[in-house]
Amino acid sequence: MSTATKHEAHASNEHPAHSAHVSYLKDGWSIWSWLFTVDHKRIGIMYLVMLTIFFGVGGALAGLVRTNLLSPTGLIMDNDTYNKTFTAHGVVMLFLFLIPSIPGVMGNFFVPIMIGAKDMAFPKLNIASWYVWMVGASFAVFALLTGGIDTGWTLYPPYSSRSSHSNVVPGVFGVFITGFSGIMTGLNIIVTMHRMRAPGMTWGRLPLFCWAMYATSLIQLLATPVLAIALTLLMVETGSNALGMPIGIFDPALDGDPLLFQHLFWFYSHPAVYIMILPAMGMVSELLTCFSRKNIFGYTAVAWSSVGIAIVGFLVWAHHMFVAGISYYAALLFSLLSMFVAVPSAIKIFNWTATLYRGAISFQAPMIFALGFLVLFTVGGLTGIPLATLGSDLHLHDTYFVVAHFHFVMVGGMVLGYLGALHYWWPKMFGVMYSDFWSRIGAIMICVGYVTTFTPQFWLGYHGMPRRYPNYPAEFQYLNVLSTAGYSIQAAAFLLIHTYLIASFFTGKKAGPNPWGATGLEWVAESPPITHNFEATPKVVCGPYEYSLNMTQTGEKADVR
Amino acid sequence: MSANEGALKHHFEDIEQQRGAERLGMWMFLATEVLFFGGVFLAYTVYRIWYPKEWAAASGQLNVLVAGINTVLLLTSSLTITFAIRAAQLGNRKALMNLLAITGILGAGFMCFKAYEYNQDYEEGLVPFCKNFGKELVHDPDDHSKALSTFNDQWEKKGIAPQRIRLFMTFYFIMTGIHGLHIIIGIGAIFYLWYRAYMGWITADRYVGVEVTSLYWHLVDAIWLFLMPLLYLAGPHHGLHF
Amino acid sequence: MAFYFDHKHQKLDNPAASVDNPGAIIAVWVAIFVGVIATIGVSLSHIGDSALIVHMLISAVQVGLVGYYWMHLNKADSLTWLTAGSALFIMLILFAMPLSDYLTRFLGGL
Repeated sequence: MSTATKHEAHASNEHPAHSAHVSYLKDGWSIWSWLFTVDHKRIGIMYLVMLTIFFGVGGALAGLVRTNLLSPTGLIMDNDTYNKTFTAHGVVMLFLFLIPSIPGVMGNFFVPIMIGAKDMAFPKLNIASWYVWMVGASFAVFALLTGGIDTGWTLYPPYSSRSSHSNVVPGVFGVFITGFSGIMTGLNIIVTMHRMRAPGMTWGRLPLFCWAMYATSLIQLLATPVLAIALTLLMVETGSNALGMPIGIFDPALDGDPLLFQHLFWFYSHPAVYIMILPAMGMVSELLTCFSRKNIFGYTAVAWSSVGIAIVGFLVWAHHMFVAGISYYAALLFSLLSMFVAVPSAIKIFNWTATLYRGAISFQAPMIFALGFLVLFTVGGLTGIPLATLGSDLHLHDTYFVVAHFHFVMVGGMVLGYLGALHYWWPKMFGVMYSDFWSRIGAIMICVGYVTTFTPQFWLGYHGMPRRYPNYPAEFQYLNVLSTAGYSIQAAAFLLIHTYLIASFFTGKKAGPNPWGATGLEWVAESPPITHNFEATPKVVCGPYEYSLNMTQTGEKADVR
Repeated sequence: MSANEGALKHHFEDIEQQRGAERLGMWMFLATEVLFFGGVFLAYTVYRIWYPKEWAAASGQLNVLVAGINTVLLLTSSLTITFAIRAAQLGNRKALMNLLAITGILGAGFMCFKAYEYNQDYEEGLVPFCKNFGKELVHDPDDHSKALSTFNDQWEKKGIAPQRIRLFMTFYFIMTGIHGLHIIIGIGAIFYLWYRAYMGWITADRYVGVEVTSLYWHLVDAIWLFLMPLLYLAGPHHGLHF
Repeated sequence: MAFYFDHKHQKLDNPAASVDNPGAIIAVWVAIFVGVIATIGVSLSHIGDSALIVHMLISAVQVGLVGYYWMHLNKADSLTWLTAGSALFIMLILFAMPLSDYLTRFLGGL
């Protein structure tokens, strides 16, 4: 790590007034000290910046989709543009925001600190993952800007091969590359957690966020390569069509099987849903204990249910294909297995509820996000059951019911978890506090806007409005308008959140090392942490949630307020 | 990593922790590689179940002699890289460099035979991406009159669907192509190791770089051990086609 | 730099103590080579499509030998075994579950 060492020496020469260990933000000021950094915290911040931009883009695209749906005949764009817009929304949100979000930002930044390590196991691989992700994102953005993709984010052939007239190959190639980035981050996190834990940090004392990140990384490692090969085969097929020598790997007209692509695609993309939701679940465990000032109820159950979700998540993917023509027997099997996901999910929900029971709950912004998660994820999870049931799925498949269901899980679950994490750790990442009042308003607005947007879609879907259609019967209009109104509330809330978070850099008061009185190891470090996180390797003496003893993991008093 | 630092990087506590992390990292990467190839093996399996006749016919046209030679080359290169770890652990720089060089050359030999084979496939009209697919004049092994005919005619006579042969050949090129790409990356890594050994950067306490590279190389070898029978020896063979 | 190093933890390091036995390395090569000959031989032995099963068995043994001796699973910790095992487990799912569809798809309804 000669570069890091040089920066260290350089920084201390430049600022003789400081102690030898300045915060990671002040350790080098040039743009190169960011672009060539190997510090996991700076890499996390670099992810945060890019993810915020992509989230903005994806959100704006959602706005276009919702605006178009204000009128039964499509308000602002033609049907082809509409196809490209919702595809762009899906691709940007899934591959460029949801999948890398918590692993990229919070995983990179906090996993090493929470286990008491100086850095990730492979710091250079870590920065490489950011660059690889940027390259992949550039390809995807290039494809979306120069003509777009009109197949939906699922890229099913033969839409995407024989009958596609859009930029499938560069877009798919971009997604293919971002997959490598996810593998790199996941690999780094697993190895770090196995090999770099501080003395005393046993597996039974790991914070639940780390357990969740471990399960997430397992999925990233083991599922992403299957997507990579599916996309490779798709690129070969699409490319051969473009060259005029069509090869039918997935084309029934040429003795291929389109369901094979769907199998390979969902083998990754269903577990990918758990890549999105598991880190948020880990986050919620942190938030609920901290803001109800109670030890977590059922630590072992919550920890292992994360791993359980990761494993069961591999066994259920074909419930996306019930009406696509798979074998009836396989459909029965997959339907049954899909129900099993409810078990570990319910274990978590019940343990969280028990954690809240008789806790000293305070409703600060991170807690509002966590409680919002609890409600919205439960709704999202329960509406999954009719979709996993063979009979009702025939009716509900490919309708707005599905759209509402997965938005409740992904956005209501994942985005609320991400925002909760961001609010919880903001003082740790930047050393400043945001406005307490406005953050509470922002959190409540998100939840209200959220419910307003997606609840009407359950009705729309149940009454038969198919997803991805730009037109609908006039009697559905008032529900669509209600949904778009909810989108506006959310958009205003996101603007508000960005405003007060950015304002906190200038007007926020300084946060001490432990503004929430929390017990995890990250709250023992300075705010913001020094480049090597801790002055000396910490010695861990107890579990992560000793709120009843008011004790941090190094045995100090947690809440001195 | 410059040469004059200790083998221990700053964020590790001790050297065994660092070696363990590097080995584990490579093993996890290999797990992803296994699943990467697993996807295409699954696709191959599905179509082999559906189209056994075409699979056997297409496989019979491939060059088993070259595949056999390549298997031995790759196997021997795995042997030499295993000895290279031993040399590195013993601090025998000369032997390490020789063994790495032999490994790299064997890998390059594999790729040369592969190129020869691809060229032969093209000349026989077996490349599914090319316009001459099935149109070149070749011998029909089942027809003893020694007359030349095109594959398209031969397949038509035997009731074999050409688009399924194209499917097999597509899998053949994708699987061997991705595998070949891994070989090329491996050769690059081995010659980079050779350079580090040449500069005297690989001392006994830093042998783990050789070990980690060997893990990757062995996996590429292991995948070939599955690819060889699946691609070149699918279905019943009544003689070897060269 | 000094605080980076916790010298108490540094143990004596002797990589030369754990080298492989050259005879064992070569024995593995011979065994795999025999497997390659057997693979080609089985194809010529007129047992038809069942050659596939023999092929896959031979390949599995060959790869097992590579993994156990050359990739040092014989000296590896349980975590490495777990990594290799989970890759194989997910491979099993990747094959078994889609094949449960393909092998029953044309059986018709219930």
